[in-house]
Amino acid sequence: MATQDRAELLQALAAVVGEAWVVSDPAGLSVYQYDASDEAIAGIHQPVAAVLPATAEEVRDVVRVALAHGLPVVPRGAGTGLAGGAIACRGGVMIVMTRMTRILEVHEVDRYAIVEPGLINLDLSTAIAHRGYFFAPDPASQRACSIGGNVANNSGGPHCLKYGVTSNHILGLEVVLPDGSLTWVGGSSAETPGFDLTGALVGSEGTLGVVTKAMVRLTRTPEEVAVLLASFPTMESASRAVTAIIADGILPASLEMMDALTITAVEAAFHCGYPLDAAAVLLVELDGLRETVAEHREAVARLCRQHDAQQVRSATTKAEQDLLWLGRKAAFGTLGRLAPNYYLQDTVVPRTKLPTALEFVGQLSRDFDIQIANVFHAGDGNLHPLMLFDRYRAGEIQRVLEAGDALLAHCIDAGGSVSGEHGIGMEKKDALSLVFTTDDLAAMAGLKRSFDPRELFNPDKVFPTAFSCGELSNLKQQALEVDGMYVV
Amino acid sequence: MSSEVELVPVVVDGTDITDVRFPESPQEMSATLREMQPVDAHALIVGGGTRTAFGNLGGSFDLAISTRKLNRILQYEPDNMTMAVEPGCTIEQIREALAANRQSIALDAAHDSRSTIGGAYATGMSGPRRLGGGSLKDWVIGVEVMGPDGVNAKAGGMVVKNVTGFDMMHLHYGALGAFGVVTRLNLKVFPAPTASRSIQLVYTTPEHAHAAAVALITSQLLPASIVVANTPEGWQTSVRCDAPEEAIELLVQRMNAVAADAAEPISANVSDDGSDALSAFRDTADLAAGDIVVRLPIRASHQPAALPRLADTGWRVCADVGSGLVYARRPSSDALDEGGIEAFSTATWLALPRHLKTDRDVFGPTPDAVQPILRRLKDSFDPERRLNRGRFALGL
Repeated sequence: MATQDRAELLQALAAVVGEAWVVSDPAGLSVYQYDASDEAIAGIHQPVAAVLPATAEEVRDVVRVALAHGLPVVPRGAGTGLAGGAIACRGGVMIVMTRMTRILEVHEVDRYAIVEPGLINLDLSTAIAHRGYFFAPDPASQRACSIGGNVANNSGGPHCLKYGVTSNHILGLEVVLPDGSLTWVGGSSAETPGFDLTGALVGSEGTLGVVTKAMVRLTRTPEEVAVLLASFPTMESASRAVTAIIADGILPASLEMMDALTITAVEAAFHCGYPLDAAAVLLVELDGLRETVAEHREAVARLCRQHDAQQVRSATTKAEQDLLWLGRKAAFGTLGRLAPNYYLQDTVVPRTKLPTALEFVGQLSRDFDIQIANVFHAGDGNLHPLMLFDRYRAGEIQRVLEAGDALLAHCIDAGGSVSGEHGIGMEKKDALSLVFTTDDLAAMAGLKRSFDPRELFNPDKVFPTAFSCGELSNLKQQALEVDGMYVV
Repeated sequence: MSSEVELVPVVVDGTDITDVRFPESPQEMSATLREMQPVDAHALIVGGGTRTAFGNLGGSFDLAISTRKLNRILQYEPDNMTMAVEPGCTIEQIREALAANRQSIALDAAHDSRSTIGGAYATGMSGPRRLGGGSLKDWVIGVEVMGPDGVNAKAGGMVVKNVTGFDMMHLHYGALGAFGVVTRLNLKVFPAPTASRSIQLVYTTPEHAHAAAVALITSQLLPASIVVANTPEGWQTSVRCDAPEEAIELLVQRMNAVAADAAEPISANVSDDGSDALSAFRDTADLAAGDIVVRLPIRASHQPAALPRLADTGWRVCADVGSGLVYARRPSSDALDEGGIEAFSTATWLALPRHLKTDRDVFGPTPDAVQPILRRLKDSFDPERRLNRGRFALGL
């Protein structure tokens, strides 16, 4: 960008949000080269400016400034995305939502709240807990991730087995559209006339609009909650117990699995009481009416024992429930005890294909000589193998990436998909051609272009555009050559 | 096939369409669509014909394409709780297939034996059980849609959690076939409740009936659905309870107690048929009876003020309290009395006689900023306006 144009741009942005909220120096912008994606993607692209607006109107005006300069617009929430969705891969203006964190309205009888997109996920549930409500989507990063990011990625989490993903909990959105207009779509009612614009926007990773307010559904706190921990001698027996629980007509609030490697790391860090001699544990949460929970608790324990559970334990206090959950929610971080880096794959298979998918993960571990920890949403068939490696050992990252690609191909062959909940972003956009034909992608492009004919909203994301697989591979190679400041 | 399946002629807005095609496979659907292009034909897409009253006054149609013989259950994996169906499957057909494995979807329609899943999806109408079980739009995990060029495009998949690609499932939900003909829907399904009950409480005032409903909705008793309706007996709060067999009677007792604490009913009835709690909705939201039917977005906290005003101006009403929607029905007439109720300004007119559709967008107002997007979508997916011409929002 020419120096004079850049100066004019920064001046115009400062006129909207104030000079203090426009970041344009290289050191300041280096933060915004990253989200939580692997540095194979992150750390390379820098926006021209990062802008931190305080209101929806400021977001709109920032978008208009960017459009007037013909620049891309890249929204960013808390930067916890794992697929590079918030990377400014074509430069442009990054709109950072971290100042827009207010809960504007809470309506208990009508069961919704209106919040700003920078609000941290857990902060919403914490703020309304005393009223007896919560926001159901609960990604593992819920202490850090933002509601706007959840909307962009259609985030899941352990409890979406029963409660559904983010799109099931968004009633309406205030958005800045790619023509610079600010509008509401959807509303406080469950159905709105015409096509479901709100639903189309959720999960579009900021490519169709920038969310400035979200009308979120509130869920009533359940009367009773039970948390069970069941340990198994093999991953396969645990997987079969998962299928048996579902087949019995029980829909737990969550049904999570961890393998021996994860248990080792978690126990060393938090002493949650996971049995160290187990090959796998299931963490099962049941909630609802007290009579229903009591009956289902007995049934789950019985089904686990029928599938060779070594031990089934029900937490007897809230503190014990929290401790069991702490191990699950903090599991990723504890793997730092085992290796300096991990590569987290997010893929999904039909639930009944879990045993063969996990067997394949084990085979990959042996074939590629990589330690792989498994901690995942078993009830949804949503795998999260964490491939442990040391970035500075020659050839390790390449083996990890190849193993990740092989797993993706296996899961797709098994009837699964490219991403269960982490999004497509930059990381997986070229993998879409594994599941979609040119005709499928052309229809999606029709949606994108109808919203964003100039293709300036978070460009080069979600579905294959300019990048070929080879180019992505080259991108990953570049990351390996960067100096030692980058650690996952 | 039964005579109902034949559905000839198709009648839309008082006009008969005698050329009705019944493709029995996606290939036949594709051929039918491709045949339209050389002769510049325009088609109405229809399912079970129970909701053809919904839609703007369109242009003239040369033919109708029915999905009723595109009615196979393509794939059902009970252990994965997924099912793939063709659009002509009736809701009853799907319900019976699921019941064999103690599974269900909480989809309510006025005519289950005729209403198709494709029609429910295209018109974007779920029912009051969305309170406890979610809406059809929440369960569609994959879709295949055929454009006017006869080419199928898919999105989503057969897994219950999937963020791969744009969410075309929501784009086509409620779009009245404006962007293509649905040829396959992949559904997430659920365990069926082992026991259901209907609680029907009658009150003398809408305020009391609504107070009972709100008490239940804000309780932790998880009602599957709650509606408040004006009936010949009085204002009736109908609650559906789903629970394990062992817990159902206790749940009914607890719900009755919570409701009575809020407002003592003049009569209370419990039936062991969970569908009784939905009868007021089915009656009011019946689009096939020739009456005027409107859906008003009125959130629960504003319903007590609106319900008596609607009733006083001659509307039969059914408030879906959990969803913030009020359905209202009245016999067809020459004019409409909106009674000064503000919600009419954003109403969706689900069924109207032809003369009342003139100069009216039955979808209600579309925000200014959204209008060009809708137009570009139609231009992109159906540039020659071959499918359901003029019937969608903005007359698209």
